[in-house]
Amino acid sequence: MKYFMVTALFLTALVDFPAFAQDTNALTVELAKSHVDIATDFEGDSVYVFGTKNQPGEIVVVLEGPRKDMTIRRKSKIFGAWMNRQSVSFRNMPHFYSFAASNELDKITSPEILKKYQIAPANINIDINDAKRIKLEDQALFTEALLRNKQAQGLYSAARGEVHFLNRNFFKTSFYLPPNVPVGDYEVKSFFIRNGEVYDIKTNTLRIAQVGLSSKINSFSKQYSFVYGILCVGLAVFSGWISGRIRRQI
Amino acid sequence: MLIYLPIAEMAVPADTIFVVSAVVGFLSGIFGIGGGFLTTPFLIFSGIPPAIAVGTQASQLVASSMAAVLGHWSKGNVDVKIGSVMMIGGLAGSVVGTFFFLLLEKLGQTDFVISVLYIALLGTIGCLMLFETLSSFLIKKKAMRNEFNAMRLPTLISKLPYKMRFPKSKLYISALVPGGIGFVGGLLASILGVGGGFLLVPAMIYILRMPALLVAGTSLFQMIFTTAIATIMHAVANNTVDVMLALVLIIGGVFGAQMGVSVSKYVRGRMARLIMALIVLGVCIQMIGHLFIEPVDLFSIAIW
Repeated sequence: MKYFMVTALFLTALVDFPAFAQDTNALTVELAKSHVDIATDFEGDSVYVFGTKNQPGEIVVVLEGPRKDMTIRRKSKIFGAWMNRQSVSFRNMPHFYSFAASNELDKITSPEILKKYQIAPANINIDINDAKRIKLEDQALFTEALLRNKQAQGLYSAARGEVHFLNRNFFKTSFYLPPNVPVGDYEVKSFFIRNGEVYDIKTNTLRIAQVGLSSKINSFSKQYSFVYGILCVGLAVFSGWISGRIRRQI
Repeated sequence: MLIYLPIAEMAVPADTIFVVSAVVGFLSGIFGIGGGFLTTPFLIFSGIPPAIAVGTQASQLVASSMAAVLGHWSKGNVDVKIGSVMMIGGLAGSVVGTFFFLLLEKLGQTDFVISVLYIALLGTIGCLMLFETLSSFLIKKKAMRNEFNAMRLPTLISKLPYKMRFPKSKLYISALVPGGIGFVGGLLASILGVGGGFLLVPAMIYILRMPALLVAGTSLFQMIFTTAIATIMHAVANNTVDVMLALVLIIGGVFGAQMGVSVSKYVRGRMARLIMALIVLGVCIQMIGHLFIEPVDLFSIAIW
């Protein structure tokens, strides 16, 4: 028991003073492309991550999307009808989360480290708005519901993706981005874990944004919303008029 | 085939939406209805946020009422004056409706309130249509007409102020009556994404007592403006009009309506109305199920 506690203390110390300071060149990571373009024909895409490490160890890669506040609502029965009655807001949650690892997570490192570095959806930091006023069991239920709903939408990965080693130190992995992937700035965080400790971390950024006509329409509709509305009406009036003319000739 | 919607920021199956809007357009060509009450629930059921569905559907209604009004216009069956008064009411209704919609979104009750309103509207209209059609199979039509004409509300209406003359319809009534009807139309367009013809037409016949010949054209005429204002309001206040989605809906609708109009010559009136009544009740029953059957997951992520 004593021995265990000493080890635990030692591990905590390592976490607090990250070991990767020893060797910042232990891990090199690059994305195949640093931006994903969404055009009108976007049907989902993949992000490829390549990297090398300079000594034996395991690799975990996390891709997480733009962080925003998120609200989860719970329906309950009112006169037989199901209606949203209760809601819980979560601060600063990623809109997209996916991860890959070279081995089972519990074989790579301890639960504490997974929690600290927010590896796997279940370890994402939960910060509930006005948490004092919400029962603990409800907090757990709503948190579970958030993860479940996000997974159902394909925006949080249900299982880990595979990190493949092409030789002893060169690895690659890929993340699938579904057609409903949120736009915004993403982070690819790569962890080099040796003997259960985080040895080096590298962060790459990925930008997912609309391009071309699609992006022009989006920004125009925000900047000149009144003109945009009038143009939409104009388009509708014009196509309605043409269609009416054709109809009357038939 | 997926198509990425620039405003909704999501990819949707364009082919399915096209087919559905063509089918709805086909029905509207046959029955002379707008069909918004079929398209909007479909869009919401298929995962498009309700705000986008309603805002975009409003712009589709501009196109379908524009296409339909031309015939009435060239025959001179539009009372522009009464239509304009209805339009002013429609403008107010659209403004109120858009902000009401915004409020619902904030409260997280959009789905619930929209479902309840749809059930109430579709249930009433569907039952009335079914009743009327079934009884027209049994009783002669004239008897029905007389029954409706017996329901008079002139005492209250004749007391309202701001009387105006509408020479084309040969009416001398308070402007508040057509204005009020237009107001309801504006609310329906901006909250439910429907033109509201199913409510406006009976109201114009039985409350305004307009000549039947002018009713369809005038309601379509004011609907163009009311839905146009609803579109602009949704674009400005919520940025929820997706032009890509509108394009798919409009093209599908135009295509279907064209076919519907050519088929309508071969469809018998009573049978068509019976089918229409059953479709309306079918959508209503589906929405009741959606509201009363326990959802698979009680929890959901708020969109806003």
